Amino acid sequence: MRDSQILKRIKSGDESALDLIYKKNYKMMTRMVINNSGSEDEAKDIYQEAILIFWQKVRKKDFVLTSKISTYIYSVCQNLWRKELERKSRLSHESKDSEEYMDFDKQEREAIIHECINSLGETCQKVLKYYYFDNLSMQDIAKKMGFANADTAKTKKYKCKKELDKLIKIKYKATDFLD
Amino acid sequence: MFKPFDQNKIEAYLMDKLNPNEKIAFEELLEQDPILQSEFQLQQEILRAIQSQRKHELKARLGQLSVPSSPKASLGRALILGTMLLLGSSAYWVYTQWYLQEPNPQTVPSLVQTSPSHELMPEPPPNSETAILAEPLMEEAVTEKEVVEKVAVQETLQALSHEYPKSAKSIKSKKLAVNPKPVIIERNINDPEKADAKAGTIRTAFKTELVLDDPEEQELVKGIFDGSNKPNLEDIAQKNQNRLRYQYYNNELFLYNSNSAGRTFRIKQNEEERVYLYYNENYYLLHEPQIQSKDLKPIQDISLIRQLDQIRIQIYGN
Repeated sequence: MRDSQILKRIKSGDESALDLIYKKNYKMMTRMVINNSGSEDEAKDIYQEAILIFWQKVRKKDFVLTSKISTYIYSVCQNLWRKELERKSRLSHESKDSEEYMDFDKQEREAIIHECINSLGETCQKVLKYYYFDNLSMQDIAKKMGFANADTAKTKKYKCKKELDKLIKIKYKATDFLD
Repeated sequence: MFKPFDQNKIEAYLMDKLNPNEKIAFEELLEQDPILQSEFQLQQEILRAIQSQRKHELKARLGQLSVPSSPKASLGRALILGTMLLLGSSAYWVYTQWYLQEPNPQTVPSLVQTSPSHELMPEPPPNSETAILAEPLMEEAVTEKEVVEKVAVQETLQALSHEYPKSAKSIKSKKLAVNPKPVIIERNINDPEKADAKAGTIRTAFKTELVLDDPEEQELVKGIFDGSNKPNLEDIAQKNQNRLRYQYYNNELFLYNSNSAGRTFRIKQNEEERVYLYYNENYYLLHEPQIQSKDLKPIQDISLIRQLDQIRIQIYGN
């Protein structure tokens, strides 16, 4: 399958196209990390991150692909792995205390948000995820979810988000995060 | 002051959907309004949580896909396979070199050579001499092991002392002193049926061409393998028992079918170091390193023999 065809499918949120490029380039991408002192697990993780960055970027308004898909993903992998090596190097020079410092309140707030997301209906969860992570248009969300049109998707998204905010705020108030 | 319409602005900002001017204006507003800051932080956390969940879902999906094995795993498999092949071929080489071509699979005590520090006059090795038990030419399949106690070795040495009085004297003194443990020697199976059955096993097990330099040996082995010649194991053993051979292995000298280790001389002749072996009243020139076993042929040159005699007497006495 040509890059242009894959790109078209990815733009419309076709996850099977993502699977296709993931499998096609797996060996080449992971080899880059492994050959640069990375483990197999690290290589896999970096490649998945890179693929998902590509997945999100494709639908940005200003995105223009000037190279092959594999070349683009490869350069993302290289950047991610370089950053990871820098992070590791920094960590090895810092004390353990600063490494393990965590904001307890932040952790608790995150837990509440995840709990609230999970308490939403499946449709709401999907719509919000497609919109906020996949950057799918309302048209594509409607198509994927089987809604009548983009407006229906837009309304659904608005209602779901409002419900989520409400749930979170109630929980926040209960734990004194919001006065 | 935070207003409801700012909710959309927050989302648009977080989704990177504002133009540069709108972005700057929003950031200015955010700086001035603590309530907006609080709401902004909340929305940022909500979006991050949604994105994180979706990312995990997609990663899990990708992780379940069957992908080609990683380069490291392939490399590991290739290394294991390569090592196995290397070990296999090494084992085969050792087998063909030692078991098929030579009668004795055991390590024969080595001769320690004289130091090359003396020119023309080698250093005597009084403590280095060890005995070598005579062993028959047998492939592993037609030999069996038997433990012979120290007493048996002593009896053998006594018997040898009649035949080889000079060398047996030193054999006796050294061998018994350094070898208190039982010695394992190889012994022929004299049962012809059993021997034939074992020879049959060899025929089927080894279908490789043997490289033997002796035409008689070639004919003999060929006959055994193609079945045209029923092997007379006693003849083979007898024939090879009489043949004195040598070989270097791990820089140590091994003698085959010998009754003693003999004596070695390292001599400089015409700026060239040569090693001679004195065994059973004959002199032999040794080539270092002779990796494959080779027949020893006694030196016939009378003048050289006289010179070597002089050196030997000088070192070892009569």
